[in-house]
Amino acid sequence: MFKNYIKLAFRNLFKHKTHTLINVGGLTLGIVCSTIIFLLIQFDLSFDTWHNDSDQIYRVVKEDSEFGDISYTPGSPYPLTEAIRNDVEGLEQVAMVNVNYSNTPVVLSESENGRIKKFTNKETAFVDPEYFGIFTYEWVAGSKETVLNRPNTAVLTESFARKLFGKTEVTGQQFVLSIGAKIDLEVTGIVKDPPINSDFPFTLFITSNTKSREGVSLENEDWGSTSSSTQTYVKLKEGRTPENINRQFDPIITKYRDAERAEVTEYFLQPLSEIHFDSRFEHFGERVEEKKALAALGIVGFFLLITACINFVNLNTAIAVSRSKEVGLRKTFGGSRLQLTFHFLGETAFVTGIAIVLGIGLTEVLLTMLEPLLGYSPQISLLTNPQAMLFLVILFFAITIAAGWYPARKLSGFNPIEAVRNKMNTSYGQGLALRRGLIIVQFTITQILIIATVIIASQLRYFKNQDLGFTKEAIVEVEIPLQHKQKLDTFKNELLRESSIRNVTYSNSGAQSGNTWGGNYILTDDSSKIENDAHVKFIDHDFVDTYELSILAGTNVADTDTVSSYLVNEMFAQQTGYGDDYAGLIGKEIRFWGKKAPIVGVVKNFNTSSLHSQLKPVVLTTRPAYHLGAIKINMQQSEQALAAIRQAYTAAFPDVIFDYSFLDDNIAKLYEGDQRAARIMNTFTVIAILIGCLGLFGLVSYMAATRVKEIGVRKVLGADVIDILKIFAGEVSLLTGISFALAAPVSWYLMQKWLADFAYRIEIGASIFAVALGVTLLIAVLTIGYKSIQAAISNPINSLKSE
Amino acid sequence: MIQLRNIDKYIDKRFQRTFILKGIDLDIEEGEFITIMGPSGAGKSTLLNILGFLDEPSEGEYSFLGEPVHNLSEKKKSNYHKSHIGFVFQAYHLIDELTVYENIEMPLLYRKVKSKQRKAMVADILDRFNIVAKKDLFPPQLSGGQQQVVGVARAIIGSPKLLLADEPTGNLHSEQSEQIMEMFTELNKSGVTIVQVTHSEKMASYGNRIINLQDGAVVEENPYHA
Repeated sequence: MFKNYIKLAFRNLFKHKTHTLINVGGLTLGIVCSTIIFLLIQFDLSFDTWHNDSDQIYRVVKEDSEFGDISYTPGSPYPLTEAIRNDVEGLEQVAMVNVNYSNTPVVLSESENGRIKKFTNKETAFVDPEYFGIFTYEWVAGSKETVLNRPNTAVLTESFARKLFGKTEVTGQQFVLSIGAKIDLEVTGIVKDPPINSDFPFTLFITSNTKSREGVSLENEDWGSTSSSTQTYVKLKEGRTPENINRQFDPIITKYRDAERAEVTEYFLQPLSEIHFDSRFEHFGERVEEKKALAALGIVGFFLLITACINFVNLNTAIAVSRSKEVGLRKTFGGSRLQLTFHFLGETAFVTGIAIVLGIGLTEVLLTMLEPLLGYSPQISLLTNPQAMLFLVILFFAITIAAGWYPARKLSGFNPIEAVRNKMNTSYGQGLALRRGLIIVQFTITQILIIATVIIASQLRYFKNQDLGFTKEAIVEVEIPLQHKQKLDTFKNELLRESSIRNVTYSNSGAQSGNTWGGNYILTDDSSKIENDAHVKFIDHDFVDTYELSILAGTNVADTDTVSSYLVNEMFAQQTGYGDDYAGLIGKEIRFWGKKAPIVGVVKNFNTSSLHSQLKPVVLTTRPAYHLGAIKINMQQSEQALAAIRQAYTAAFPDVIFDYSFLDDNIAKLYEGDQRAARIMNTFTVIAILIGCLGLFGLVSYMAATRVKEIGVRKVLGADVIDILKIFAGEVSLLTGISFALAAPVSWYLMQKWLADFAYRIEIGASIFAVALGVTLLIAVLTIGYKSIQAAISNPINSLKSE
Repeated sequence: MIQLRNIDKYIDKRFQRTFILKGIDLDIEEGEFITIMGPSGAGKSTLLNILGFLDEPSEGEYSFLGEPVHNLSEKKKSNYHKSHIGFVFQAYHLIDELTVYENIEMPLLYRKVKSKQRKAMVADILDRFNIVAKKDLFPPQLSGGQQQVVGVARAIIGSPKLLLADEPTGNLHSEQSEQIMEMFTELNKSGVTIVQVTHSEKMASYGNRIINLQDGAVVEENPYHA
């Protein structure tokens, strides 16, 4: 019996080749997408969960409400770690992780033949020895109890050791690290490379109290400055809750600073499991993935699966008519409805099984190609992943039941006499309402995705074309190691001698970057004192010209490297209550980071950070805290310019490895997350459209099959091809219209929420919806074209035969 | 009205030509009521389809109202089809989703008759066939005979010159059949040319000429009145 079923299933699949292809193809697509999405979500959820007692590990983070605005930072003032270690009760371990060095670390090692090996290593962290007590590493040499307990010692990952020394048995070996200043280091431990699903991507760990050759260290007694690059991690003692600990932070601030400060700042513990997902706080890994973004991805995956299942139902009921005779005969010869239901469910299971096997194969292939789409390379596997296999098994049963149950019940419910006499024809149209409903669901999903895609694309284009208040084109940025003014001047003069280079300026962070510096200023007026916070740019005299900022009033800063004058922007004038009375503001003295000087000019507003955030008040002053050189070049001679920059740079800074980037590329990187969202949306929208087209094709086939007689009658009574096509087009327009009416408000609401994250955003106009509707209609018409023309030109005598 | 000269209809299949109709010569005058008879597979329906422009002969000449059909443009053919020819089917072929009224109205829609005129014409026919009370019912709610009455009403609403009926009473019992045949006789008297296919000699006797087909050829014309 069973063998008989299998044989029959095969024959049926072969008989309806197109149908089978659409069914299997659509399902496979749905399965592949949802499996990949499942794996991606699983990958993100697994970040840093593999540490022992990971639920006991927390990061100390800060909420700051000075001056009214609430801001968040994952950073701690340097002395905080030690204070917590001494004063907070209930902690097993406390450790600082510090990457707050001014220059990209460069590793130097002398190999046997005397040549110096030199490479940058951004994954360098200065940590307390307790770091290895909190986080789990597998030890190849040394142990967490013995390493890093004296200055100038280091722990390496295996791959880093191999890169530096060519082998991993290197305990006791020496090497040099330069972060502007040179540091001598001795290897005391080797750990295995941590898994990729970690936001602690470090390959080199250095004791935090390490000193450079000149005796300088990163240690810092200042409670007043907080950098997000200096973070404190703790591991709770068994039985303690974060609340126990949070309560003890206020007294620390009161003790080491003052009660007023304790009032406006609040330190609290953030669980390790939240670090990967909370966009309020950065971390050391490459991306923060918000949980709501993951949820959105999950919903998209679910939607794709639903659309694929809907196709299955629609296409199966579409050919049900042609199988009504088979059902009738089976019933006449004693088949019960239940038997038939299982028979048809079995066929669905068979097709689902084929789709899952194909899906597994395709997923395995696609997993290796995800990097261009995602912008990161997830290390995930399918076949060795028990959760994913379980997911597929559940998927198998869910699809079989969801997609197979209705057609099976419907088919098996045919009245045998009518079925055998093939009197089913149009009276079998009762299921049409359901099928239309399903198509509407599918179309709604597709249109939501199309509208979202159009909006995301428009928003990104808007970002690209928005006036930033400065010129971002043709500017090359290079990292500047901390140097004396004289050396910087030599470098600058060297560059300016080149005809392809127009301008050179030094600053802390350039006109716009993801890295912003800020602080509090005090403006003393004749009568009052205004204190507030602002972004700060430490610049030189050429900054204004290089970035083409426009000075609205007053003059540029003087050509000096001491704080002798300030430029401010329009926002600053507004914040201090001067509005556009720039003349009144010029000459007033402000104090910033302890340096007092007069305001000499007002510049037009420019965006110091990405367009996700609003314009900020900015103060600009000459102070030699330069980390970035910006070089305006002539793009027609870019190769010549770059060669000149490389040559001058290598000559001026021999210890640093030359690396450059274009400002507009760096600015584009600020929108990396949005670009990724756009790419993912595009991909899944195309797939959803594809699946939706298959579904529509199914519906039109169904219509053509069930209404073949009606079409014949109409043609005999004088309808021409156009009249018949109108029936199909009318149906499709109606369904598109209804689903558009459903999709428009939903997508408007969702995208309004998405846009709310951007300070600069587009208005969702009618044109976006018009485009989406137009695209959907066009795709729909193209999809139904073939089947409906085929139905419309068929000869009625074939469909109206009575014998 | 209609002249068929040496009409052949065949299907070529794997080096073998199967004739459905062979060498048919037939003249039909306006106002005739013709019955085509013959065993299953004799080609009756095919002949009827060719007469109604639904099918084309493989060979031979067919002229309708003096015009050779094979020379007519598609458009003209379609126009003749709409305005001169009505069809009645054995299985009625009413559209189940449309009411009696809408079924009858349909051919007028395709002939772009104005709404007001359409209403008047449908009301007239409903009245004439005594089915006013049933106008809002759907076909499955009617008996076979009633459905066929609607089928006839639909076929003649456009006042065709030629009514083609393929076993119009094949699915009906005798009383219903007689009712339909009487309707046909009435129509014929009012000037409509009728060609019907039937197996029943009784139904055939309503007509004024019988053509007997066998294996695709006319074997006998008017076997009873010869």
